[in-house]
Amino acid sequence: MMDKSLVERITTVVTGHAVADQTMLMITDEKQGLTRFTDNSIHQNVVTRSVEIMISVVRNNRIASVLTNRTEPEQLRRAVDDAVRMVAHQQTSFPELPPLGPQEYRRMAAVDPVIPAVTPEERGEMVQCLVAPAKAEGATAAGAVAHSSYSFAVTDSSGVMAFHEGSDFQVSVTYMKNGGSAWAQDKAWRAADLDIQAVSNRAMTKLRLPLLKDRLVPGRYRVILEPHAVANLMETTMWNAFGALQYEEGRSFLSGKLNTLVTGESVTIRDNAFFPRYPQIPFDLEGYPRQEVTLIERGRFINTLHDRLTAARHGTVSTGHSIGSRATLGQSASRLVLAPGDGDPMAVDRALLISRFHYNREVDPKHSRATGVTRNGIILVEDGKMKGVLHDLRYNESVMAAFQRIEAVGTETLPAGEYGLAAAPALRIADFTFTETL
Amino acid sequence: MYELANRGLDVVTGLGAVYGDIRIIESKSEIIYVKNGQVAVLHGGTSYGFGIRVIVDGSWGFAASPVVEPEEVTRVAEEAVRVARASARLRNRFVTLPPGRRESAVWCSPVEENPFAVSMDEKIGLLLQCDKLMAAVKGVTLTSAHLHIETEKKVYADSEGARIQQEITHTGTGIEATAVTADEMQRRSYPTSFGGQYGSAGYELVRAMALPEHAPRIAGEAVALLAARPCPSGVKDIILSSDQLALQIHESCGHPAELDRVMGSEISDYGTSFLTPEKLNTFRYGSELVTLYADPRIPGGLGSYAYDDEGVPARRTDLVRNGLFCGYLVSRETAPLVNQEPNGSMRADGWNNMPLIRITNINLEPGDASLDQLISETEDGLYMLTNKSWSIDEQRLNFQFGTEIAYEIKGGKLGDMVKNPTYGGSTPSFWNSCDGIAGPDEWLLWGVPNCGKGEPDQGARVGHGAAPARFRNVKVGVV
Repeated sequence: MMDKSLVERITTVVTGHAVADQTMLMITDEKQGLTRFTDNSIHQNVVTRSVEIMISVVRNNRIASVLTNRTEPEQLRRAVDDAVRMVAHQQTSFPELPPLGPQEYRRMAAVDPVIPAVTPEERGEMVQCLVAPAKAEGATAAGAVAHSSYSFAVTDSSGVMAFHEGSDFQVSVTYMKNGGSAWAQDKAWRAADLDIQAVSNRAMTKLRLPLLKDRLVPGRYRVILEPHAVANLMETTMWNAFGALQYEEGRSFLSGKLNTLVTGESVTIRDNAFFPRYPQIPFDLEGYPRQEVTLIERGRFINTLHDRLTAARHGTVSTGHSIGSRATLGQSASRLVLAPGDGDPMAVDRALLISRFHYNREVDPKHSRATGVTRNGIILVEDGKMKGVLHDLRYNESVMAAFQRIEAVGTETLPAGEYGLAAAPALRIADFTFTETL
Repeated sequence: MYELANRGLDVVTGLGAVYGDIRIIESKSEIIYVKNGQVAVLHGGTSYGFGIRVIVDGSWGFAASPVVEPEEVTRVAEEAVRVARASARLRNRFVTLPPGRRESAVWCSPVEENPFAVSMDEKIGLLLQCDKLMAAVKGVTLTSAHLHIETEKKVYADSEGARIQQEITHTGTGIEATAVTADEMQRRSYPTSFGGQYGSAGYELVRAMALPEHAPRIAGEAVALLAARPCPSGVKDIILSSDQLALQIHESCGHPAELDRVMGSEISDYGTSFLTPEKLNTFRYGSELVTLYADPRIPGGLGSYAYDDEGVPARRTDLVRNGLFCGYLVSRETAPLVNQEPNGSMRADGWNNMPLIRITNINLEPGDASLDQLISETEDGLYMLTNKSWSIDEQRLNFQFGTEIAYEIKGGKLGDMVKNPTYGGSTPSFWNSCDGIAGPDEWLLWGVPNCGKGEPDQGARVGHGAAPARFRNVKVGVV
């Protein structure tokens, strides 16, 4: 993996060669190991390393960028030359930004030295831990054990030297038996935080539930959403909703609603790159330090996310959420964290428990309306206990409207979701809308 | 380059691999994105690396690196063998491959006008011109135009003697206009949504799209949609434009016909398939009119190539013939499981991913009707164009799609525009309700550049050809 001294050497080569007002680099080096299994057997096993260096040059406030994965000085200089050639054709002059200069970044634990050293054999042993209970149950197991370690840097000719090392470990399993299935997943930056046995147990407990023959008809039901299902909804509708530019352009369902109630009062959402269980990179793509930002506080939408350009327009400071390109595309959340509550979503006479949603898509972004389907069955909960598994349903729901009908917020916020963008507790929500029976 | 490839293959066979292949890939790309009159993205890129895949002790292993040097090839080859040995500790099926063909070939996708050679000023100028034309329409609030070109040079070699070089160029372009009010947002795209039209072609694709001619029209439509009536709810006959049908084919035929999905390789992530092997040659997938086939040989398709990423020549495979489900997309490993020949469907996203069975160009055979005829024969229906949202269950049965725009059909005539159109159903019922397909003159081959599958997530570029078609008694306005 690339260390800080190599990043510094690459930066020196690039900035020393570029004939430009400003030169910026974004450097990624990632090593991944992944073992996938199905039918109690490994079917895919890979080890890969990827390097990417994005070089952006600014001349007369015009910008162009070039991506390369070559680190040899000659190749880096060639990429710089390409970028300089391109910027000569750039017709757009962007608002001037002063050089950012060296910054202080909040230190946080995000890299586990154990993870880069995990071997294919050790991944195989972890898979075995997930497969053995399935065999004992007369079931089959499918899933993946995946880990990555990476270094990421944003540097520039004004002295920005943002360098971060991180790691990631994820385990997922689906157990199948007699036409039923159950799924569980966990993810963490530190290997020791993953409890593979607990993942297996969660899925196996659900697999052992009886399959119920009752048919649910489309309609509105009280639901208990596990953290992954909540994160699915948040990732689908909110990843792009809090940016200041999106707000200005009217693209967000939050546009025009600053300082108003947009959800129930049990909802507090922060963008927190420093979420301890699953932190994000502590700076944005300008190299600006990320801030923790409360976006929705007790139901009231109170802040948008800024980069330096939108911050200047609004007379405020950047929150560290630039995605590059000088604000033309907007700003993106880093880690949306839904605050835990003190409720027990399971404490209810009757509700439908949903582990995860599948193939979620925005249908109407201006109203945070999304569709998707439940997966691995819906679990009927009666008197606070899981009673059995029902078939899946398709939902069509406005997530903001659903968040106004929350009845209970669970006590633990966990990293969840498909894309690593969200962390959430379990929720109980009234009148969640299902439109199709699967 | 074959020297490096041979080195890797010698290492893996020397370490006990019964099979090995190596892909060395160099790619180059250019992206221009204009938004609201600004050149928001002006970007070039290159990537270079290799991946080695092996079978050892009846199991697969794969390793990859961006450092294309002899010593690194040796190290990665050794790593691939080690990974395969680790896989072999937990396997219930011994991987074997049918005999290879020792193919030797050099192939380039046809390009009339090298898109990298067209001046940057001309390309930027075209996009800015389109952007300006859209922005001039009153009520439009956001405009964008986009161009993406990419060339991939790929060297493939395997331990059975295949030696193949391919150079494939893709070009894509599109424009988009959005109209926003306090409570609503409407968008129109041309030639289609999510990046526009893509193909295995050069700059001639961009010229053929005639973007400026369509810019004012789609901008006007985006504004007009704000005042249009919402899509009615109920059951209606629908006619889908060929670009919307492309995505319908992609989701409800392309993915479920991937045999690795059927065999469970995506169970925990992307899902399974309702097209299980006992249905082969017995299951009525669609009406008699419906013939769907995969063909990576079609010139110009985004899923066009001469050989796949395990050295198998591209070939046509019927998936559904006259409504009967009759074939899968297969790999060398899985083909014997369904008594098929390998059909050139294995592809990897770049050098650092292991090949998977991927959609190629999957097309709907044209019929003998015309769009005008289909409309004239429809009493109460909707004509729906250009995808806006898509969702389908993990078996690829229950789906819901939204389109950017639709027009009512009353008494055989096209009527008012409606907004937020959606339709949904179950895959076999839907395709069995197809009772009319327009002819070859209205058949278009669309590129879909954002197909996803696998862990880690691999993108793929695929094609779908279709002419407008009619489906009876479909649930619409499902939101």
